[in-house]
Amino acid sequence: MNPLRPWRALFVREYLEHRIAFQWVPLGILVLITLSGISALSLGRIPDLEGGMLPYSLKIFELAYLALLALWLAYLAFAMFFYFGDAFSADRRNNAMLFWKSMPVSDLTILASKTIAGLLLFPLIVFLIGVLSGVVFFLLVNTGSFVVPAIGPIEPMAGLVSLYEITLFGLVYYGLGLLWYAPFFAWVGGLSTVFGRWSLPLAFVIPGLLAVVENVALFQQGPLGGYVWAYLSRRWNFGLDGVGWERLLSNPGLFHADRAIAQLAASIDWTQMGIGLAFAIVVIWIASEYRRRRIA
Amino acid sequence: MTSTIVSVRNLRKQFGRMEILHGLDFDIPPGRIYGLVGHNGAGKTTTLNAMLGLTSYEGSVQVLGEDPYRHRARLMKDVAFISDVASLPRFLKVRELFQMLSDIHPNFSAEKAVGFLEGTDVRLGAVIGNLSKGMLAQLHLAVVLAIDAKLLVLDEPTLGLDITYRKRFYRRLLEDYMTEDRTLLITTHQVDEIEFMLSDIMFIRDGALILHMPMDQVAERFAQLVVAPDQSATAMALKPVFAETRFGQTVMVFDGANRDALQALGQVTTPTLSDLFVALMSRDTGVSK
Repeated sequence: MNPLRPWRALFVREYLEHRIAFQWVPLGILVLITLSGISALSLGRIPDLEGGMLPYSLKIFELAYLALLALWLAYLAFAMFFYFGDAFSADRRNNAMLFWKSMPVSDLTILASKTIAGLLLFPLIVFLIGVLSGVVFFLLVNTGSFVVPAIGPIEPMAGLVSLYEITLFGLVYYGLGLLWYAPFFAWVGGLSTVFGRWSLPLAFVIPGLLAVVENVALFQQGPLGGYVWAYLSRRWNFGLDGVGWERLLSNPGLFHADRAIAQLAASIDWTQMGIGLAFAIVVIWIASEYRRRRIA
Repeated sequence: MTSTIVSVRNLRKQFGRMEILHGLDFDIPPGRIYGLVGHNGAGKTTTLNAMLGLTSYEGSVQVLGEDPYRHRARLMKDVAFISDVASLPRFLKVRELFQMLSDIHPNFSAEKAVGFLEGTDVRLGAVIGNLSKGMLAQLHLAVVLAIDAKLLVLDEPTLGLDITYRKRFYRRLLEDYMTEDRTLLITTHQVDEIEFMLSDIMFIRDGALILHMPMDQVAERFAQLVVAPDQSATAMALKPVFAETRFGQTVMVFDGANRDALQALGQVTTPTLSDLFVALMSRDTGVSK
């Protein structure tokens, strides 16, 4: 038997169980965005675009596509937070633990499949829908150039290059962002294995309590807010800062993925990235050992 | 081929300070059908859980030569079990479940599972969460019977099923599933229904095995006597393990008594499993010791 077949089965299982949150709802949102764009164009509901200084259509598309990918990333982050808080305890809640224990797959394999599905499969689905939304917006801006001639149509080749460049940057940004936040999601999942859905508040309450205890014990001996708080605050931030984004977006020229990716890579603390990934692996292993000892 | 399917030595299990299993010792050879019978809380499920790698324990348990707690996943390729018929993933359709099991379990046959579902109301397109309790049990039984396992463990498998399906299930279990290479361990409260198919019986009471023997030796060892009206005192002198009065008749169960001696005291029969269960498991045996 192909050793990858059980993994495929476990990924399919995760997909079937969570496709509403990661596929159907995003597709529904995309349909709404498309309909609102079509209605805005067909009903002439774009008065603000008719006067004042307008960027050219390709820039409108680039900015809008980046904004759309950012919004999809925000949606993904929320959905993943709830996924990790829910999926790691779903077998207990659904009384399915004994069924999965009767299968020739270890608890570590099951939790690893959930983690990989959460960090790879579902983000990929949402990202592809994000790309689709970019294509839709590309078509809408092109159509809009006929309604508002001042912005001019997008030259097809330049438009495709721009679509490719932003998609590439988006893919790298999603990938690195998910790796950066992997320890947080693993933390939520690990807590969920023990506490079920209470992991959602506990993911914040436990570090908050640690910070409070530290402040009580070591009042004003460390950085403002304490070592725990300072570390978590630093660890929470990912990617470009305000200045970096401004520099990237205010550039009147076309978007270049290589420059943006280089800028992003330079902003990442790679040591912390490695520490975070090691933390995530340890948490998932501990959670699997806990699950191994549970049958309900 | 492994000469012993299950080997248990000094199996102990504690929950907190309370010891649930008090050092069980038994072996299960291949090709046998074992019944594990006991009251609620006697330790049946804990024993099964230890054998299936679902709980930690003290002592030694070897199933197919493996330590089940350390190698549960590997062991499950050759062991199938049902501990709770309501544990199937409810969000899947029956067809999706079979497809998933085909990928995940090297010894599962979707074709056989479909065959076992013939004659039931379970449809391949049905969502498992929408099935009735009886249909869930039918589906789960079809799933385990479609796994080519060396050891099949069934913990109260027919709970909630009607008598027609229960009888059909046990018949198919014998005709279509059991072979000399397979071993079956089954627990149920409806002992009368499985008595005909058992090759061996184990009674567990308060975490200890009080009976473990082949069924054909049960008839040799135990006798039930409906005592003639004037023979009660004589029969009681032969030290029955259990005595009670049923509809005005005194019935006694003897362990290892001479049948010829009993014949003179009334009507002698071999006790059914449920009679034996009552006799050996009752705290009030009706016999002063």
